[in-house]
Amino acid sequence: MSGSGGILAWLARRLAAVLVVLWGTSLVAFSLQIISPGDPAELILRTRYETPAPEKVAQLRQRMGLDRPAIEQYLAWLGRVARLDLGRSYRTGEPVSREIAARLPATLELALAAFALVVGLSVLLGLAAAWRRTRWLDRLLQPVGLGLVSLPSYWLALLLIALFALDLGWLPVAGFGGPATLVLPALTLGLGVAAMQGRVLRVKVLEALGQDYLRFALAKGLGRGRIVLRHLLPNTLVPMITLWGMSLGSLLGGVVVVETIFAWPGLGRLLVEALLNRDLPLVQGVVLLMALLFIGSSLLADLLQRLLDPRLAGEGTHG
Amino acid sequence: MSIMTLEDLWVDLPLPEGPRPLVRGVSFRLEAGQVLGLMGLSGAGKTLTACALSGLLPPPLRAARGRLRLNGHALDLSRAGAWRKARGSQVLLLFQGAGAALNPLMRVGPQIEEALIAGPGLPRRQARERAAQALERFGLGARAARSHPHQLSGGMRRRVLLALAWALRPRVLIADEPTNGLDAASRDEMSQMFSQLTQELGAGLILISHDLRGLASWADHLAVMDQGEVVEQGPTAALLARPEHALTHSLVESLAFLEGAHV
Repeated sequence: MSGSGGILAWLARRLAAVLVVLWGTSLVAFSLQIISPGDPAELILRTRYETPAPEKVAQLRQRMGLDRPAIEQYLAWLGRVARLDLGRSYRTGEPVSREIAARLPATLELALAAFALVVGLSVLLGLAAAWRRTRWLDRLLQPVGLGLVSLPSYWLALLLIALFALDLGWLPVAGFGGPATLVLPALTLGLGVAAMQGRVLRVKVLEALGQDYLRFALAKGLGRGRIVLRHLLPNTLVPMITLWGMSLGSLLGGVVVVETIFAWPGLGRLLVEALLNRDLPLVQGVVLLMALLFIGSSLLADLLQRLLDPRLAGEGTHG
Repeated sequence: MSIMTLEDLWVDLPLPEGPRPLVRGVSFRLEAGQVLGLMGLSGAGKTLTACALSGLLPPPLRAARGRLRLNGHALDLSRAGAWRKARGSQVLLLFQGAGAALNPLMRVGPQIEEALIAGPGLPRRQARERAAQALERFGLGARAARSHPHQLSGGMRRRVLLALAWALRPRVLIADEPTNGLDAASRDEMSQMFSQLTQELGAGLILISHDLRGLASWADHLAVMDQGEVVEQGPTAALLARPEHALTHSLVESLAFLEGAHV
């Protein structure tokens, strides 16, 4: 039992850990600026002049503080980031936060669709185990799940496009707009994770089926529907929440490749474009945001699990 | 009139080379208010008999034969569907290890209420009242009803199950090793609560145990099981005074030895 202090103390501890992780991420994001070749000042001027004069470059370097020691630059940058000022894109001159805000909805749409697929499919597969101990499904899920997870997503994407878009003509090859365009990217992103988690859930269901409280639920005269809904599902799904939270984070990471393949105008493609243009502030902004989303979703999942599982919520005993 | 008679119960384990019988032709009868002790060594088939009686045999085990008369109604034990209505409200089986019988994510009160709604079909309000009454009857208040199982002590969780039995009012209560792992004082308290409960409900109690000393002081009748068969049964006093089967004989002798050492 977590005991001491209850949920608020736990949350405070977790938030402290989150700050440390975010600080680490900021170090990595900032060091991109130090280790990447090329001079930001020169990059910016190149968008306006063919070959910028050296004195102009020097001038801009001074104005941007690029001539000062790295640690000083880092602290100044961290100070701005802490005030949510991520700087301006080198290429467009627009605030990074505005560029990100324009792309975030598309990514969230894709990630949430894939997430819904993961949760829905894994619960279906898990429940199939409760209905009947279908061993063939277990035998099938293991290799298929492993295969889907280890297939590179650009390869899986091409297979799906070849089948559903080219051969069958059911779905558009790529693009953004409407539910039809969402299907293939979401499948590419979520299918492997769904199969793997379905397997985990099946194991949990089979475990729960052997528990005394389920046998006793039957013994005291409950019907099957109620046993599944009130006893089996809560006890198998609550431990899955943490796993789901983590998978939401990894789905957000997977969007980089998937969005590029399907011409999906989200954060992943923004990141790729920014990298190709060596648009550092934009890269840093996207990296920081993705880290934040990843950490945030797993923290939220942990919190949810604590709230739903009374044994973790730290309610006192009165025995 | 007996509230339950069991005739010729066979439990099989299906194997490729043919079914292997684990319980072989068990028969006994139970009167209202009577305590029947089902005794035997581990693996004798006591628990399987209990599971078959409440339609809870874990697959692939199945009751191949067996006629049960319950409260005047006949039930064919080899047909699984026959059990749906009788389970819980007619025959209630309390498993070994009472602590784990409660759903860890659900509050205790609702776990009693749902059984009252499912079996006897009480409306929700009445179910809640009866559950509260039952918990109170066993010294547990409203606070316990709102608790999750992990917040209660082992003794309190056992009393929750007794309260559930009291509220459900089954005709036959089966308790599998109810005093396992208890110290002597709690054992006495538990057996007293069980006896009172049986009297109050006018139900029959089948008590499964390998502890002859506990059964000797508690059960009116004893049935001794060995390798899936009832080898001897009768009123407790008579059976203990003149054991006929070799197993009963050795069990009684070791009991006498222990009692002697005790004095």
